[in-house]
Amino acid sequence: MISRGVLLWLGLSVSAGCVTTSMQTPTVELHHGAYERVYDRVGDEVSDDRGSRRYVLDRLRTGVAALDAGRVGAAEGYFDQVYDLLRTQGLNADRTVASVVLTEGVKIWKGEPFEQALGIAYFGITRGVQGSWDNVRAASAASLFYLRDFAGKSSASSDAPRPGADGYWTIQDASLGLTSAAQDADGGLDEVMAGGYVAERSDFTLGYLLHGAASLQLGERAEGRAYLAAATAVDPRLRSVARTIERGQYNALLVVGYGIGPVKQAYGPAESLTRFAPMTPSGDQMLVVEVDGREVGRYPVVLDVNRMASDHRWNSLEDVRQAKAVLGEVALYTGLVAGAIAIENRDENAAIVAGAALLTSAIMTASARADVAYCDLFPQRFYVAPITVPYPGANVWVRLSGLPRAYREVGVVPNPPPGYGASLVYTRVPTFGDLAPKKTPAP
Amino acid sequence: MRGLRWVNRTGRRAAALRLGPGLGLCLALAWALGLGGCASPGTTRVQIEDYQEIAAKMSLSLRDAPAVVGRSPSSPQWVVSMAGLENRSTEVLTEAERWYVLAKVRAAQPIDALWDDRRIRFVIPPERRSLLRQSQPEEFATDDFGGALGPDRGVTHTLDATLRTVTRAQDRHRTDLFLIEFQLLDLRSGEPVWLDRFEFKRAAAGFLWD
Repeated sequence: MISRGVLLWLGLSVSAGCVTTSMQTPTVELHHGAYERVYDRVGDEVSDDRGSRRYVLDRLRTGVAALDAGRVGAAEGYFDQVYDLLRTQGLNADRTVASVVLTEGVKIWKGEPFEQALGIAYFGITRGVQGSWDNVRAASAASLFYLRDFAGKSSASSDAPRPGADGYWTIQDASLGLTSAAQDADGGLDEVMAGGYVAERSDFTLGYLLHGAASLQLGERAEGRAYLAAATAVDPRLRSVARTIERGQYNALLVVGYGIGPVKQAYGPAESLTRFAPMTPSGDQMLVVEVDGREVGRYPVVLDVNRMASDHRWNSLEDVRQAKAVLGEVALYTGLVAGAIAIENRDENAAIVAGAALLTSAIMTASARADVAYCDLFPQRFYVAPITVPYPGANVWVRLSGLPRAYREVGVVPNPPPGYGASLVYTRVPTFGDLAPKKTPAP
Repeated sequence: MRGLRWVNRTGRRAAALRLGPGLGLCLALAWALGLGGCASPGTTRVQIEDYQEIAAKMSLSLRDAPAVVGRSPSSPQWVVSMAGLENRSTEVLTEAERWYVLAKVRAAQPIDALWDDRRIRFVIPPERRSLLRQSQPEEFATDDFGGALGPDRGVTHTLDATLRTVTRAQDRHRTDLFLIEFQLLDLRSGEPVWLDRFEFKRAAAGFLWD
C-alpha cells in the first residue's frame, strides 16, 4: 500500500510546478516618465539564479527600463542575456516529466510570441542607439522569423514580399537544404549569403520598418524596399513613413514608445485562464515631432501592443507550455502510482482508483493556477519618425496629438551630415508628462 | 560576453530519496523515459569557441598569404588597423562580440610573430580596447592590442571582417551556416592584398518557443 507520506510528497511536488512570484508594476513612475526610478526598482528585483523561472523576465523588464532611462550600455547587457535564452531551443524540454520527479518543474519564462518579438526588437533598438545598424537589421530579422517559428510553418506566405524577382533571394521553404538553396541560386552560395533572408508573413510592423531602415542604411536597397513594402502591406497608414525612409530624407530615426502595455489577467473557472487587458487604451493619436518649436511632422501608430496581445497568433504560448507541463505531470504521477501499487500489492483495482484520484487532483491543482507572469513594462504603442535634425543640440520634442500631457523632450539627437547615415534615437513619452521637464513644451 | 551554460542537474537529487522498491523502479523507469525523450537545450548562436577556432584558422591563412610570405624583417612596415566585425547575418552581436574575434586574431601566435618576421603590426583602435578589457578581463587585461598608435597613426592597411548566415529551420531542428569573410586592404592602392573566408555550422534541436 502506498503510504500517505508518499502521496503527500507527490501532491506537493505537483504544486511546486506552478510557482508564480508576485510582480510590482511601477505604474505611477511609468505614467510620469520617472524612468530612472523604474530602472532602480526593477533592477533590484533581478535574480541571478539561472534556474529561476523569472530569469528571462527579470532581464527583459530591466532592459526595457534601462533603455527608457537612457542607460544604453546596461540595456545592451540585459537584452543580450534575454536574446541568448530566447535563442536557446528546448530550454524547457527537459522540465516536463523528468524534472518534475525532482521537483524542478518550474518552467523558464520565455514569454508570449509578442513579448519575444518585442524583446528582440528592443535589443535591436538598443544596438541601433549605439550606432550599429547591422545589428538593427539582424534583430529585426530575428523578430520577424519568430512568428514563423511559433506558427510551425516553414514556408513563406503567398502574399509575403518576394524580392526574388529583382535579384534577391527568399528561401521559400525552410525544408530546403543549404546545398540545394545554394545550387538553385544563380550566383551560388555567395548570392544566397549576400541576400539570404526570409520575408515571412508576420504583421510585426515595427520589425519590418526597422529592417527596412537598417537595410537601406547598410546599402541593401532592394532588401530595404522589400521590408518597407511589407510594412505598408500590413498597414497602409505607414506609407508616408516608409517613403521617407526609403528616400533617405532624414538623419535621425526616432523610435517612440507611449503608454503602458496590456496587463495579463487570470479569469474563468478557478482563474485558470489568462488574457491580456489594456492598461493604456489603444488610440490613433498621431505623434507630433517639433524641432526648435516648429512642427516637422506627424506620424501614425506603427504598432499597437494591445492588439498584438489579444491576437491568438501572438499570445498562446505560455498556456501551451503550461498545458504541456500539466500533461507531463499527470502522465508521470498516474503512471507512477498505478505502477507502484500494482507491483507492491498486486491489486489492479487499487491501482486504478489511486491513479484516477491523483489524475483528478493533479488536473485540479494545476488548472487552478493560471500563470500571469508577463513583461509589464512594454509601452502600449510604438511610433517611428524619420526626421531631419538641422544641427547638434537642436531642441527636439515629441508629443501626442489630442493628449496634452503626453509630451517629452527627446534630448541630444545626433545629426549626421548627408551621406553619413542616420542616427537611431529611442524615447518613451509618458502619459502625464515628465515629472520634471527640462523646458516647457513647444505650444 | 555570454557565458551561460545550461546543465541538466536532474541526476543529483535522486539519491536522496528513500523509496520502496516498486515505486523506486517506476521512478527510475519514468526518469529514464523522460530523459531519453528530451534533448538538451541548444542554441545555434555563435559561441566564443567558434570565434577562437576561426581566429586560429584565419591567422594561419594570413601568415601563408603570398603578399605576406614575400616580406622580410627589412620590408617597409605595415600597420594594419582592424575594423570591427560587420554583421550581415541574422544574429545580433553585442559591441564586445563585434571586436572579440579580431582581438583573438591579433593575439594569435602566427599573427603576433608577423611583426618580427614580416614587419606587420596589427592594432585594435584605442577606443575599443577598454571595451574588450571590460568584457573579457581574464583574456585581455594585459594585452596591449598591438601597441600605441602615434598621432599620425601610420596606418597602411585595414583588416575588414564580415559575418553572414544562412538558416535552415524546420520543426525542432535549426541549422545556421556562418561565414566570416576577411579582407586585408592596402589603403594606398585601395586593392585587397589578401582575402579569405571561413565557414562553420551550428545546429540545435528543440522548439524555439519552448
